[in-house]
Amino acid sequence: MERREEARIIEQAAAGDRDAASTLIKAHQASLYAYMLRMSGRPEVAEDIVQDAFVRVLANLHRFDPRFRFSTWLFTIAKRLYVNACQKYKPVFDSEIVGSWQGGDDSPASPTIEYEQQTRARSAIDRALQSLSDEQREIIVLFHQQEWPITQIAEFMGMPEGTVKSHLHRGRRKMRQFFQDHMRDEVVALELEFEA
Amino acid sequence: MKRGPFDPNQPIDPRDDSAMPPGIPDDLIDSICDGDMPRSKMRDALDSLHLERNTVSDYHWTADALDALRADMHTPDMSEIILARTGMQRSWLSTVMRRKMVIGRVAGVAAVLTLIAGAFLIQRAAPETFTTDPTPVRELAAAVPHDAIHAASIIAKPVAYTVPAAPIDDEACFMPDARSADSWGTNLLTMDSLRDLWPSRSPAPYAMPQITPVGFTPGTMALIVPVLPEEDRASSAAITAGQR
Repeated sequence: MERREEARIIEQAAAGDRDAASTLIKAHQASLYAYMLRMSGRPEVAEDIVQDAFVRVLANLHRFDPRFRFSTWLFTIAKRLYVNACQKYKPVFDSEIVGSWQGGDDSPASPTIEYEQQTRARSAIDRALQSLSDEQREIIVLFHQQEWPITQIAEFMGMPEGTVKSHLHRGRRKMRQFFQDHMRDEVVALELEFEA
Repeated sequence: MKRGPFDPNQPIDPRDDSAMPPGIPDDLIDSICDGDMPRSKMRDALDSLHLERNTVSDYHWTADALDALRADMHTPDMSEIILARTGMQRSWLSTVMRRKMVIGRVAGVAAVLTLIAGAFLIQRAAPETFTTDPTPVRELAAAVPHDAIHAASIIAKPVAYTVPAAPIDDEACFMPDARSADSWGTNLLTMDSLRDLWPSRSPAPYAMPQITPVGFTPGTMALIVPVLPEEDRASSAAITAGQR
């Protein structure tokens, strides 16, 4: 959604337009949910936080400063809620649950080697992400999943762009290291299993 | 293994072993993953990665994992729940209803403004339409001609006669305040003296008008007396002569 169009929708929603508010939610709920799911590792926690974040945002929509990105504001509120939620729910990353929630169109009816590899890859991604520090994971998710530019991530995280890049690079190297340590043998084993 | 910094702007020749540092530098992979590398350089860089099988495998795992992050994730539609929860704090209107409401508000404001403008114009054209209360300007406007007529009548009306006063004997007049005649043989009767001419027990035979001195010059001492009817004038003369 273009920023001008988004600003118009936000203005309408702030004036009490239900349809505009619905459009706004639908435009951002997927990205926010994905982000929260990656961060929390629990679909029910991610869902609660997304709902709470949108309720807060819509109740305070008149306070939104259009000079900033709406997504940054929304994600900031969601992140605060997540930090609060962490005190209640310690995030235990369940890669099986996260894996089952993504790529819903994939049918498990035909267990080909490709499908199995995809499933294992997703599981591996979740595990690799969980091997990172919170900041590295968050930056990698924002950069590679949300496709935010470095400047926006720096603004959101409240740190210099150089520090963001540093976290990003270290996080990716850690992920590569994780794949080196865990996945190579697993893939070979899987290939051998299917060949047999 | 120590790896030197990788410059993504330098061309990479995959066939030239001396050009390649031992292993694949992390900076190269970072540059590819960050999207900082120009497309023309990207091809060379990717070709160079094929020189090391393990590094290629690691890179592909990382690249695939990062690509997989972008894959569509099934997200439950929470819009209705969110709007219902938000509806407890604020009311929502459909777009049509909101448009109608905006039109209604604009029409209401326009009607009020028209009403005020109409009332203003009527007030300007006919000030007495809405109120009969006197206003300062209107009162002044009405008072000016009235005051002018009154002033004209005052000017036109003679206020007093000036008559020469006869010499008055102090004793005969019984006027303690009566003053002696001056060198011209006239007495000036003050208003108090005149009032004392009549006994206080009986009312004066005529009403005492307000007397206003019309002029005074040192050379013409004058007695200013009220205008009296003829019979009263005789009575007054008798009093003055001490006959009463």
